[in-house]
Amino acid sequence: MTRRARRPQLRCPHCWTTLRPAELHQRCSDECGEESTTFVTAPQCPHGRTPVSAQYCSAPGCGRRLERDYTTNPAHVIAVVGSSESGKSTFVGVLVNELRNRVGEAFDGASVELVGDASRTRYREVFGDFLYRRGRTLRRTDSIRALHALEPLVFMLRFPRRGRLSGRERLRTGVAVFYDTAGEDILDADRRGRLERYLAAADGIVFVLDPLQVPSVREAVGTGVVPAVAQDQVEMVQGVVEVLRGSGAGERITTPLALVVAKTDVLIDHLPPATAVTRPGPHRGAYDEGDGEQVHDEVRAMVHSWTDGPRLVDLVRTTFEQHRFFAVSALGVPPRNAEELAPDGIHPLRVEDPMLWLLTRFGIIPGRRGRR
Amino acid sequence: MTVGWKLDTGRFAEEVFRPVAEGWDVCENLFRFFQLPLDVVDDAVVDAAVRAVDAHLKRSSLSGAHLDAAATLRTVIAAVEPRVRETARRAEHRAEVVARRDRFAAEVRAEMRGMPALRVVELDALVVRNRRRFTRREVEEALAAAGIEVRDPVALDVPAQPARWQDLRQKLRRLDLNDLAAYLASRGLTADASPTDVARQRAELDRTARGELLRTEQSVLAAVERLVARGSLAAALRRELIDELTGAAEQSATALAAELARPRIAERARACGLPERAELEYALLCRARPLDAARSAWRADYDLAVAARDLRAQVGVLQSQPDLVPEWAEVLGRKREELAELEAELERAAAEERVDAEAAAERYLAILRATQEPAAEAGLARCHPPAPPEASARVEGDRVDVRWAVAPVRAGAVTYRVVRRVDHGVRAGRELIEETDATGVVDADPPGGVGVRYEVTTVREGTASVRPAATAAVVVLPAVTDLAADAGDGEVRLRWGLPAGAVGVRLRREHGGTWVELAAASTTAHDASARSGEHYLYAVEAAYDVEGDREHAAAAVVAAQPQAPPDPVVDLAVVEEPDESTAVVTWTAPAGGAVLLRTTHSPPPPAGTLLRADAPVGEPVALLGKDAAGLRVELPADGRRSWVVPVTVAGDLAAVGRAVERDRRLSAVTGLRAVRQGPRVRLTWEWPHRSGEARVLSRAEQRLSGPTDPLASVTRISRAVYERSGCHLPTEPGLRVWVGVCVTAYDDGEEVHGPVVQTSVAAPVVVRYRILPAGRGRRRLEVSGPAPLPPVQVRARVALPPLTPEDGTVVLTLAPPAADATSMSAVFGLIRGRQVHLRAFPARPGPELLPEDPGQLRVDRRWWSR
Repeated sequence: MTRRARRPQLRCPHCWTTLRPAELHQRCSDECGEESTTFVTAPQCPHGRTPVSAQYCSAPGCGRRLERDYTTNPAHVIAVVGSSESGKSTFVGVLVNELRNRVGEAFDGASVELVGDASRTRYREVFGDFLYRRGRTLRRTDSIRALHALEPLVFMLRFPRRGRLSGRERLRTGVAVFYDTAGEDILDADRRGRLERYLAAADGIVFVLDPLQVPSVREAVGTGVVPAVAQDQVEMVQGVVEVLRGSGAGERITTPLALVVAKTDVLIDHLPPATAVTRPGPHRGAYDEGDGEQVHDEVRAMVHSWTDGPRLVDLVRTTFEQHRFFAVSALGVPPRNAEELAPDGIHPLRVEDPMLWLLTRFGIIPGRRGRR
Repeated sequence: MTVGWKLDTGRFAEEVFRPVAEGWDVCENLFRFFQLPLDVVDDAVVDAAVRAVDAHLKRSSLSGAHLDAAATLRTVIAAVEPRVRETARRAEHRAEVVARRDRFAAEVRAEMRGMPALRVVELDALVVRNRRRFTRREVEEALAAAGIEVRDPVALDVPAQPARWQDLRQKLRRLDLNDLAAYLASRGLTADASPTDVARQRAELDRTARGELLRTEQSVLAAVERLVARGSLAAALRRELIDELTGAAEQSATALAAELARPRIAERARACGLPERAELEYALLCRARPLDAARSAWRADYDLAVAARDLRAQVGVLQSQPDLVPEWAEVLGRKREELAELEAELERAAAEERVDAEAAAERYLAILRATQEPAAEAGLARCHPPAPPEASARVEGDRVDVRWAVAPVRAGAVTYRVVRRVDHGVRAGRELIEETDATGVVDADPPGGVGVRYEVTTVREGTASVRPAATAAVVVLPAVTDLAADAGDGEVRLRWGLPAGAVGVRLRREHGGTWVELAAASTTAHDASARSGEHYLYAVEAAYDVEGDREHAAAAVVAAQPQAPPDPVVDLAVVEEPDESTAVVTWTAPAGGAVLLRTTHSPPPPAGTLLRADAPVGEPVALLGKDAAGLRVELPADGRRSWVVPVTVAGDLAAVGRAVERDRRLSAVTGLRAVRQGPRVRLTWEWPHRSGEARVLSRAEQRLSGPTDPLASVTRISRAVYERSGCHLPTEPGLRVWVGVCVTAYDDGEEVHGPVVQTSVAAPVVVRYRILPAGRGRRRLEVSGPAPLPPVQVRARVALPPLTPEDGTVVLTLAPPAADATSMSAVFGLIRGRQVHLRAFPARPGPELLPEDPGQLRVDRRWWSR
């Protein structure tokens, strides 16, 4: 059974204005011809005709369409931040594909679908085509992404859950909104302003940490595909913290933080033996807290051993009330070169772990303390 | 009116009005009607002609001799004039006129039957006969266009035939001379011979000749003397030559040309003062084909008789004509003379039959060369040619070579008919072997075991000699055929073909120089006493009963070496190089024999099949060398399905081993990677173009032998599933697993596989441990797993888990109590700290130490009681 509770208020995912549903706008149907206009949601348009059912943000300067699934379901904004070339876009592109396919199978046929033509088009143009059709990296997509800067990827989640006592299946739904930020924005004080409203509205933050931008790791890995820039990861986290605090967060930020060490495929030869990071996640039907804690501990210890690692670990621990460390490989194998992915395809490892953890925090999927 | 053209009214009357009055259709030739040349192109000329003709018709239709014809033509001119006015239609009509003219000329040429020209009288007759179709002008134009000349022949000046001419010619034949010219030449006399010359010859004759020939020649000389005395010898010679050549002309123009081409004839013609060859030829042909005042039906009969070379019929046709023109009368006289000569010759031949048949046959043949004569044919049939004086037959293997001497035939061409005669047995009787003009034949299929004779008769013109030349009897003993031996283990089986006539065989075996006789059926034998490894010879002789005696044919011999069948190769492994054209091949050598590698594109015989050592199985595999990995070979990279077949050869036998299939119809995957992810292996590879499904194989501890390795576990995965979920296989702790991938597809209902690309992944032995509370500040470690357990070290670290054996502090070191122990435990104390992380590490590399519950590795002091 889908819960479509009437939301008391909502935020426009485009301009972040807080609105009440009654304040949303509608438009006249084609029958009104040249006299068509926009008006506050009502059964009839000013011309006495039935309006188009779509609703639009009423904030001045916005007017963007709000999908019905978004306005009638609880929405959770997830901000994906990280330094440039850290793999955020690749992470988002692969994650969405995994959620729509493999993860859905693991969760009793859960459904994860992009909502609205804008999201579908954006996903296809910015992520899907490059990664899955052409086998290309997303390094050259900065210009395309710039066109879609701060445009959300909205997708609907439907997870079936069985009642503990009744045994009846119900549907937990929610809407997740992904934003793929530009890494430079975090470090540039002048551009942080754009992020403030976005991060302030975030219900969860995924910070993608690029190990190849850590001096000690880059030196250990040696040759390979290295990012063109190497930004201080601690400063990046610090920047996020400052943005959040600037938006009114307290000393300890309550927004859950998933700190994701990306590109573990490059580190495969440098990971400790028998580490849980190299095993696939055991999350079937629920998020396995035991596995999550083990990965958290191991990744934390791993990061702790890097350049400025202790600083980073301590910063995260002392700043974020809810946080967890993750290690993922979005591609599974390193790209062939700066332009091309490996020819044997995309085979991610644990790319869904951060998202599943956040969904447990949002109450959309259950958590389970299992044992290996 | 255009300058250059003018209507000729006289010609118009001659060529148009009169023929039209006789029924001619102007549409047959509008050029004639409008008095236009065939090749006219000037439209102005055409226009002038049409106008002029039209005007002339108008005038003529009013009065004059051709009033009716003109009136008739006036009604058609309007309809026909477009055919000459319009260029395309005029050209079309011109072609029709020319074609009609050419057909007429062809008719005339056919009637001429090889005559080089047409006599003027014949032209006149032609014009008259075709006046309704063509004008004289048109006939002459047609003949000229066809290159047919019209001229009369030169006068030949044929002398009268000398008196008693036929008698003289008969006497000359008795002297074996065809003509007087030949006689004079043989006696050194010429046309200018004097009486003295003749007397000298008479004196010579008296001295040298005897008997009948003397008298005959004396008579001939007397005739010559008379001709010389009258001064008519040259004329007689001339007449003689002209008659001879006229006879050839009567046959055909070709026959005449052949005669005139003979040097002797040409010399005689010059000596006789005859015209040059071309003139002479035409004159002779005209003499041979006299003109008819009217074409009679008897002429066709006469021509038929000439074509059939039937002299009697020719005479008969001519005799039956009451009023022959002089030229034909002369022909009749000549033909009668020839017939008289023919009759005389027949008489002489008939008389000679009793005395000298060959001489008679010679005469009959000469008659038949000149004319078709049933009496001569009958006479020739009575003259049996002599048989060869002797004939012999010699046996050569299964055949008989028959030879004979040339028969003493003096006339005509002969052939020899060879007949085989068998007096006893299944094939008793006579059988024609061959009819040949050689003096020997080979009888390739004589019956065996019985006496065979050969009879050779001479055949001339269908007449055979009365009695043949016979050979002595010979007996052929054909050997057995297709002798083959199949050697097995301690036995040899023989088979052969038994020739017709044989009553059995004699079988003998040679070993170590000693021959022994063995039992045998008619076409098979089984030697069960042969020993494997030994070399034997087997001789099989067909046996025949020849007139109560047992005789044997030449032996057919075969060698055999029985042996135990070789062991087939059962574990052939072919590991292909990335270039897909070379491979390393390994196998376990069988106990005996040599292993040959073959490659074939068709399914090989099943493993274990025994073959002869020389039985072909595919093609040899090219060997490139040998190294530590095995034998390097070159294999076809042809995009086809093939098999590598090991064949063990020992002696005469070969055993087919288990073949390895290579299917190149599909490409191989590339970039196969196997990465262990805990209890499973993730496989990734690059798919070949246009492939959608793959087989994933796995096998513990051994390389995969191919796409259909019977000992491998197989999973099928589609490309869609691979891209969506990846490909994962479970690992088996402690084992090295070989995993391989090949694409698969269906080809015409048959499942085909690409080459297997494989790699191996080793999964370490898994040892599990638990860390359980054991009192305040204490924990118990429990380790379990397969023996031998590794020594274990537990390390503790505050706030962060120890990731390596160098992290944290050692809180426990535990060694297994025994080498075969599968569990161990010990208690240890924790270190101080609010949050302590524990982890166990194996003290030696190899096994993987995994906690049963990762939650046990973290100790939060808030729950100190735990």
